[in-house]
Parts: sequence; structure tokens; C-alpha cells
Amino acid sequence: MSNTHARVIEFLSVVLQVDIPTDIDDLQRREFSEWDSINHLRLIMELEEILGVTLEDEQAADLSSSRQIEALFTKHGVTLPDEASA
Amino acid sequence: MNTLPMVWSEAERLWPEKIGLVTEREQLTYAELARRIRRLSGQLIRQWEVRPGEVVGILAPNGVEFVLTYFAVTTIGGIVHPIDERLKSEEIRFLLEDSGARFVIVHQALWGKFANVWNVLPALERVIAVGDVGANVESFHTWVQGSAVPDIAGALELSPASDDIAELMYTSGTIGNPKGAMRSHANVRAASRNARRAFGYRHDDVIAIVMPLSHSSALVSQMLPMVEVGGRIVLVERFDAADLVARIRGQAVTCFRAVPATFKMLMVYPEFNADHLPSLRLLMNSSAAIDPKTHWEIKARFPDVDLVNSYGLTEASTCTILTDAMAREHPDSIGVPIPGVEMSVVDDAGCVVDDGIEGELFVRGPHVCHGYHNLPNESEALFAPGGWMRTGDMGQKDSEGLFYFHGRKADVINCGGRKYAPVEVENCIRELTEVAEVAVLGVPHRVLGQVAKAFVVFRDRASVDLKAVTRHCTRYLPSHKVPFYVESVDVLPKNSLGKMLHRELKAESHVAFQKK
Repeated sequence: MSNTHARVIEFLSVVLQVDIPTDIDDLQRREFSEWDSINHLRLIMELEEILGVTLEDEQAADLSSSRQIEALFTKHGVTLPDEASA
Repeated sequence: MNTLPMVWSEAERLWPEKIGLVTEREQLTYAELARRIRRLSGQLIRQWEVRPGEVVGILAPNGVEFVLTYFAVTTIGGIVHPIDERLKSEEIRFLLEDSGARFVIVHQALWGKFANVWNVLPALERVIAVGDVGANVESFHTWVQGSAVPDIAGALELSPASDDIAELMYTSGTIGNPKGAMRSHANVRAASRNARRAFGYRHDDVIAIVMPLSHSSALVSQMLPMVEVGGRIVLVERFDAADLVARIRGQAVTCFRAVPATFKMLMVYPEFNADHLPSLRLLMNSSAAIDPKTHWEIKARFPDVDLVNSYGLTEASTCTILTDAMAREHPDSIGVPIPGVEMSVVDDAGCVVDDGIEGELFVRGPHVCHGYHNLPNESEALFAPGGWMRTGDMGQKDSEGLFYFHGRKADVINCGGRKYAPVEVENCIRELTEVAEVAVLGVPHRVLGQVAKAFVVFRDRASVDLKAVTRHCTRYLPSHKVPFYVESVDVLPKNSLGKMLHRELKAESHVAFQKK
């Protein structure tokens, strides 16, 4: 598991305040009830703050797994801090 | 007749030689007070030609002048308009303009604030000053002093009817501009009766009035009922914790009513205890809920003193009573309706909800005001069918009949169609030890309509951790109640009675969003 992936899982765990197994390969939004539509909007807000960008509505709506979030960080060349800032 | 002039005629008849009022400078018997009220009434008619139904403003700190003015104006059928001494000049202008007062009595200590706006109040025709204001203004004391006491009001048969408006009492305006609640003679007498029933005032009571007489609670739940039972009133002009403790001891005060902040300041003084103040038998909290920790700290110092709480509004003063015994089991409750007051919890469709379900608190009873001055639409909206008054407060009733206050209806947050009172989020955030104070309100969100924003006062700057607040809420609250925004502030805006000024928070929040 990559360092980035582990940090994204930690980030999601902190924002959603749920315990997520660290060895999970890909966390799917539909599999976690805590990742509901309102928490998703809060998650997007946190992401935009860290990335320093505004995500398009469609892009935000499509973001539904930890792997997609990981790809977003890679695309913007941003590294999540060790302790997820959320 | 259920009117205010009757209060004094009865008091003068029953106990003329008893000391009724004590200030820092003098003490007056009921007979002397009645004599001065008659003289001032006569002067209001003779000098100012005040007619029944006309508004007379009074801008003065707690003092004998306030008491005399209140009863003199209402004796001749006028409408007394108390103005909070702590208001700023512009707020004073708003009230005087809105009330349409042609007459105002101003104390020298507040003259500067009044003088700033006097020239932009064209409707105001006559002003009289209490004390020396260094201007060419009539003197209150000249009016009141002297021996001739013609009963002009009686001679002219100006006695008001019980349904005539006696007071124009402005709301504190925590969520909008203050509104002038029109309270009739019967309304204020009923509110006073509620207070007597709830607090059990006695003929041998000595009450220290710490809260400003311009406030509804001080007038109709303290001053008026104490006159009705023939007790003694000790007026506290300016609050100072050490002075108050000394006056309680010196005057053998048996009871007083105060806001939570006042109690907290008194608790700083070790002398504020039953051994040092053995005369105290009753403490009454007012205006905002007292936190359980402070409640029990006070009880520890005064184990045999009743510490009660009550819920009321400017539009319907003194509705409930939460006794000591009730507070032990239900410290977060506002208590039960006082006999003579009806309360219910109603949903948006106007139906009474089951116990335990949140809704708007409705109140009915003879103490409910007649509506708002010059605001016909708001007055109509204030009342529901059947004579019920919409309080604009959210709350619930439990199976034992106790009521609970959750917050103002206007403050309810609607997040994506899910509504909730900010108090639930505030209580959650208060669980964090590093949080000293918190206020939550709804702010616009382009998708959800509204989301919660928390304004947090941290105990010290080093402990500021905004994300910790969000994490805590996420752990213990459903997602729609989790604040999207958390802001650290040094202080929360409150009015003089300790009530949160949501309109100011909203204004600050609005500015913050515009800046984004």
C-alpha cells in the first residue's frame, strides 16, 4: 500500500470520524453509511481547502472512492500531511 | 378595577407608614410614594397636557424617579415607555421614533446619549431632566417636590380601564429590530399575579432589584408584585457584586432576581453565602438558563435557599416556574406553566404534538400582550386561532408536564430539508473542555440551503483547535448537524441581559462570507 493511499484513508477516517481498516484497498462511498451526501459535501470542502482549488460540481459528485481521491492528490501534485489535516 | 392606579390606592390604604422603597439616598413610605405619584400625575396633565393613550418615555437607571414615572403615567391613562439605559444613542433614537413619544423623562446620567439624538426626533415635544443637565430643561424634582397634591387625575376622571394599554415594552431585538409590545393594565396585573404565584412573594419580603426597571422582568415580576403584597423594594442603581452583597446584608434582603452572569459574578465573592447573608430565602434566575454547574455551586453555598427559574417573554411575562425540586431532576427544563397560564407545543401545521416531540411553544393567558405597536402584520402573525400566542420559541414537553426551551424558531437551521435547533450542536461543542462559550447559527449553503456555523470562544488561545470541534461533532451528531464552519472568536455578542445577539452574529457571518 502506498504512502499516499494510507494518508487518504487516514484523511477519510478523520473527516468521517469512523474507523477504517488501514489495509483496505479501495474504500467505496456506497459501502460506508457515514459517507452520506452531507458528509460528502463537507469532504469536498476539506479537499478544496487542502488542494487550493474549486472542484467542478460533476467532478465532486463523481468522487466516490478513496482511490479517486488519491488520484486527485496525484493530479494536483499535493501531498497530504502525515497527520491528515482534517 | 384591574388597573395599575389601583395598586397604589390599595397599598396606600393598607400600609401607609410602611417603608416601601429604599434607594442609596432615601427611603420612602407607601404614603409618601403615593403622594409623589399624585403630584407627578398632576404635573403631567397641567404642565405637559398629557392625554390618555399618549406615550411618555422614561430613560433612567433604577431609582425612585423611575418608579414614580411608571405609576404616574399609567395613573392618568398614559402609556409608559421604558427605555433600556444601556442602549446606544442610535438605539434610543429608534425606540423613541418608533413609539412616537411626545414626552420623555431623562436622567442626567444618560443625558449625553439622549442629547446626541434629540435633534433628530421631531415628534418629541417635551423633555424633563432628572438632575442637573446644564441645559434649559425642566426639572423633574421641581415638579415632584412641594406640598400641594391636587388629585387632578381623579378630578378629571382619567382612571384607565383594565384593557387600556399601560406599557409599551420593547423586545430586546435579539433577532431583528426591537418591537414595542403593547401591554394593558390587565396584562401587567396578570403577569404580576403569575410572579406572586410562582415565587411566593410575602408581605415581609425585602427584594433587591438588580435588573434594570426598564426590563419586563424587573417591572412586572419584581417591582409590581412586591408593591401588591406590601413588601419592601431596595433599588440597586448600578450592579457591583461587592456592593450588592453589602446591601443584601445591610438591608436584610430576602430575595432578588438576576441573570446568570450576575450570579456568576457574585460567586466570585466568598461572602456570597448563607452564613454571611442569612436573610436570603429566595433567588430567582432570569432571562437565560443557568448552567447546572453554577446552579449547584449556588445551592452548595445556600442549601436552604430556593433557587428557581422561570420562562417568559416581553410579550407574555412570567409563564413557567422551575422549582428547586424540579431542577434536581430536570435541570435543563424551564418548568411547568404557572396556574393561570396555558402552554402547548405545536407543529408547523398548527397541530399540538405529542410529548417529547419538538415544536413551537404556544402561550395563552391574561398576561399575553395585545400585539406590537404600529406593526399590524406582525401583531396578526403573533396570534394563532383560539387566542394562543406564538412565542417564536422552539421546545417540547415531557410526559410529566415539564417544558423545555430549545431556541428561537428563527434560529432553526434547515439543512437540506432537515431542521434542528442550534442548541443541540452548542451542547455537543460545550462538552469539549477547551471551549468556554459557543453559539451556532445557520449560514447559507448553495446546495443544502443552510449549514451550521459555530462561533467558539476557547478558554485560551493556545487551546484553539477548530478541527477538533468538527471532529467531535462528527463523532456524536448526525451529519446534517455537523458545523461546516467553525470560527474562533474572542467574545460572543450579547445584550445587557446576557442574551445572544444572533442578528449581530449573522451580520458578522454575512460579512465574512462576502469577503470570501
